[in-house]
Amino acid sequence: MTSGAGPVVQLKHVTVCRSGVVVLDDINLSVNKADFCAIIGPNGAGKTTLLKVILGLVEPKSGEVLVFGKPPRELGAQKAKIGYVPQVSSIDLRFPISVFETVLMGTFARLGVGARPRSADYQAARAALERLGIAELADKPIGRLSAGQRQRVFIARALVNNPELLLLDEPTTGVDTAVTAGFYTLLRQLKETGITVILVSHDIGVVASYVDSVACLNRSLFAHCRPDEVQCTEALRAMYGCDVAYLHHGEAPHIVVEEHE
Amino acid sequence: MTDLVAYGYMQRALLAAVLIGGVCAVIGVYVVLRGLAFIGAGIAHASFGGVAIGAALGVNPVGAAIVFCLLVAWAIGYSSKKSGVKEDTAVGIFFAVTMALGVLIVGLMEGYRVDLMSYLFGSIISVTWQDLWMTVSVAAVIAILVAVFYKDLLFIVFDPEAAIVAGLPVELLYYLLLSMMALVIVTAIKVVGIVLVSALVVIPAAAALQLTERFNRAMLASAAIGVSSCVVGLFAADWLGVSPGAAIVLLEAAVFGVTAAVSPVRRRAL
Ligand SMILES: Nc1ncnc2c1ncn2[C@@H]1O[C@H](COP(=O)(O)OP(=O)(O)OP(=O)(O)O)[C@@H](O)[C@H]1O
Ligand SMILES: [Mg+2]
Repeated sequence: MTSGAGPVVQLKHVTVCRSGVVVLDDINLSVNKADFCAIIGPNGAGKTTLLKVILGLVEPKSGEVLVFGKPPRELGAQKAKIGYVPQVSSIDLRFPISVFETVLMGTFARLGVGARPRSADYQAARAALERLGIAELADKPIGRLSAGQRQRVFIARALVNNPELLLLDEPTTGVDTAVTAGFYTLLRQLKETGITVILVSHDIGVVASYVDSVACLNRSLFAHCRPDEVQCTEALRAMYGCDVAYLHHGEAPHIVVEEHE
Repeated sequence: MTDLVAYGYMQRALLAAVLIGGVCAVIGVYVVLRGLAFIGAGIAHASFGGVAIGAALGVNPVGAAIVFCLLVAWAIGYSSKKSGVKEDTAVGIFFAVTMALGVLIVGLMEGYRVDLMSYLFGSIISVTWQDLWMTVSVAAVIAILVAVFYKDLLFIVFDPEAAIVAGLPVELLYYLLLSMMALVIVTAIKVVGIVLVSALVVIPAAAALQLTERFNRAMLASAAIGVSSCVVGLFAADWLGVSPGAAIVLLEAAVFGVTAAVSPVRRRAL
């Protein structure tokens, strides 16, 4: 399925500046096919920027970015193999568009300019809505949803093309606990079918039991390791700049950040 | 009414009004949703510079205005994208500069003032066969472009970032939209004039968006409002002996007032 062997996403010595400030510093990261990787880090750490670099939305100052073995801007039709859920969507909530139409737009990536969606695309959109349990919202205008429902719409849109690479930026913000658990289970299942998933989350305690690896990011990459190894590294402490305890409560490990004096 | 239509000039005016009212209103839905209304007004005023340049060079003023407005539209788009100047600031600058250019050129020429008045305030009654031909061609081009790029323009207007991620040529499509605006606006100047033309683009779409929460229905409703306002306004103006441009714009404003008052969209939102 994926073109060539090698990692699905590879960053080599990637440095990114925004408004003249270094926000990502010499990042080396490689994510293999069917990896489920969580990126954690404090606010302003550069997590969103990292995803945007992978998507080709932000151009690095130096270093090399390869997605499916190619620079993101040269992916062309392969862009349809990437699903993305942005942290905040800049859409106008008064826009006259329904939930179904929003999800259908996800299929435009593989359709190409000027082509009309066909019945297979409509089916894919319907299936994506079913998957997220929002089929009954299909005809609702996008502005008439709760924040959590809307987030599920964007997740459905990211899944509509059956992507090979999923990039999710705090996708469960505002989504309730039951749906969140169901959603991580869904991501886990997608991973089992060979999809590569990169998930930005503050909810390390919850994601730790689902993901294969955790990348600790704060301008530079402090660690990229198995979730149960995170506690062994100085990474969290170095990254958050304070003492962080990593606890196991039953199945789900938790991170507890101690207050600074 | 049937008597009126028997006159050649009225037939031409009617056809021009239907076509222009329709295409302006269709483009208007994208314009309103993407917040480009002010760019529309800027392009319209820039056409004054274009017309004056055309007149000074002795070429077809409308042709000159089309070229000039396309350039201005791209320049506004380019400067707001690349230089970080906000769109409305870019428009504010181009708006005044191109108008000033027009005023300057007109001042240097003699005997053109009267003719230019028809560009400022429109003169649909004096639409010539040549004007009509141009209107038909522009309407056909716009109709084809909208039919082909309907969903792509919708995507870039709704969620430009997602459109980039999906691999759409978002910048090209944005320039396409600006170009369509320039074409439509210059053509529409014959009907209502430079000063009022952005109303033909903005008001029907704004009214339609009060009525429905579906993009495709909004586009149909906008076209219906645009066409019917132009036709009714034209007849009303002829009957009352007032300026057709003003009558059309005021009629559209009245339609907007009614749709805003009864707005099912707003009611459902409460
Ligand atoms: N458009 C921008 N222009 C300039 N600087 C930016 C821009 N976007 C982000 N930054 C800067 O880049 C740094 C990283 O931002 P980023 O959004 O990647 O952080 P993040 O890790 O996603 O944070 P959060 O957890 O709050 O979402 C921040 O210091 C921010 O100020
Ligand atoms: Mg972020």
